[in-house]
Amino acid sequence: MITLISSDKRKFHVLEEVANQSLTIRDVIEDRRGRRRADRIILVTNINSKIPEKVIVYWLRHFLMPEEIAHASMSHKKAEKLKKWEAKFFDTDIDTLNDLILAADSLDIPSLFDGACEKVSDILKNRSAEEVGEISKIENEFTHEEEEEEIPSENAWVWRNEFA
Amino acid sequence: MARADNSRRGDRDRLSSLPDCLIHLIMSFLTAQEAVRTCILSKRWKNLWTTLPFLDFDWRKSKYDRKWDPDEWDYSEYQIHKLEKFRDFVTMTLLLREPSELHKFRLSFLDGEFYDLCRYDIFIRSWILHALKYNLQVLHFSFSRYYDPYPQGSLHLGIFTCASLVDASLHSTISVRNIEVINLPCLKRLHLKMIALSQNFVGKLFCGCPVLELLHLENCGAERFSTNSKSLKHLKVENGCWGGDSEKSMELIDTPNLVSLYYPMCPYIFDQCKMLLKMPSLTSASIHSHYHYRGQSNVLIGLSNVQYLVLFGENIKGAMEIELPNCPVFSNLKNLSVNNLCLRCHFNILASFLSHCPNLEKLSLCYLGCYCKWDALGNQESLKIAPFEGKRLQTVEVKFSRSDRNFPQDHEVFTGYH
Repeated sequence: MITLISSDKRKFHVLEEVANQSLTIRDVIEDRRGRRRADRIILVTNINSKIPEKVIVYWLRHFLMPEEIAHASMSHKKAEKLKKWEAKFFDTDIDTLNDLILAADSLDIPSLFDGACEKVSDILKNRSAEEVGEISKIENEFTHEEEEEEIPSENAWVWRNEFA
Repeated sequence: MARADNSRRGDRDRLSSLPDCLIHLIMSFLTAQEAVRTCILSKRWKNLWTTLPFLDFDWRKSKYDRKWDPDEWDYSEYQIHKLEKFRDFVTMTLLLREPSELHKFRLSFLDGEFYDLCRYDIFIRSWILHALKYNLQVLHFSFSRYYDPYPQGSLHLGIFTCASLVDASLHSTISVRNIEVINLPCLKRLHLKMIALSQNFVGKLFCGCPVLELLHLENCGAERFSTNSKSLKHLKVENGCWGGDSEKSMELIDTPNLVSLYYPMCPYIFDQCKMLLKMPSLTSASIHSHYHYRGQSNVLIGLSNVQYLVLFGENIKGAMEIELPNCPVFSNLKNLSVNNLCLRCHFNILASFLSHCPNLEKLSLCYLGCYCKWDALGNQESLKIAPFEGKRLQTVEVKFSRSDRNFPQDHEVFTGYH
């Protein structure tokens, strides 16, 4: 059992096998192997307590079905089920996704990282700048002139019909 | 435009505060067009795309804001116009981006029904040449055309000497016959589709790619396939056919680390050929046979230690008949699936194959219906069927097409084994 401590001092106890899905944690445990119990505490300072909860839920779900089983013998039903579960898991607000990206980056959890990035990229797809701004809270600090003239003329080639 | 006052703490734009490299990874899920269009979001995003190390140009996903208007254009004219815009977009993006690292470059330029893509050769060649300069690691390139099945050399051969390349996927109706040198020291995965290969391409490939782990050849013609690669883990050959030469009728594949194999029962259509497979690490194999061929290839002998085996193809019955006399005992085989074999006509073939699989746990059978009559079984009762113990057999899965009315009878055939 190892203990994760978040920035707001909450403790999370996780089985080592489960937490091993984070390559960072795996390396830390490997480095400290053979030492005392106190060394099995890992500080995750850059994320608040809401995120470790989510990360651990993600770990547990994936721990139940490791990706290595993705062999020819694995049933499509299970893969489908996991896909559905992930879609639901990532269906959250932009701030949580943002934190998940940061956490997955620092803890080195490739599949979580990709899932969160893909979800954010969906926000940027097929939407007008205003819509994206609203959802993602990206502040558009262009001046009126820039917005009306400079930006469109500089980037005309990006929008084909104006390039014709 | 007036925007809502976002001064509350929870409403900060946290996405933009991520470091560039993370935003780039988010943008890696977008097509190049979508990525470039983020330049209007804010000042922070204005130039982010110019250093983006992942570019995905996809003709089919490209959006063109002008809809097709039948009064204005023929459909073919419209398509050509759209294609020209796509070409301009790719060129502009490559011209205007900063000369920074480019790790992944994908170009998909498919299905030219209405236009002559030969005119684009010069562009495609220069785009790829440009991309290769920036430490390119992943190149996915698909470019097919209908009219000219074997044009010469539109594929820039610089690809085959790119030192940074790790993953390459090339799909094009072109030839790499005139290729001289292959030197890809980092290449791990290679997928070639519809490419006419030169005489000793495979030999050169394994010499030039010391760490190649995955090779996937799809509809590629070549002269012969022999290798002794130590690094190869996955080999997949789909619908490949080899020319072969009648003098040398032995094919040796000696790959100590190969884990999965997808291979034809016999790749030579015209010649007889024995295959010698040395694959001690192999765990799963899919063997297909689509053509009639002459003589034993002995491919099954090399697979004696697999755990998962799939046999399929239109001619699987003929192929199994030929190979059965030299069939080894599959002592590790747990999971067998046989497709396209009619249980009514060819039950004896299946039964004698099963007698070589003492430790089988799961058997799946799938076929799409056969025109035989149930009466045929009458003859089979007189055949001596090798007894199949199947002590560990737990699951038998039989898939039928819905139109097959003989399902209940087929089911009876197996009841003896439960």
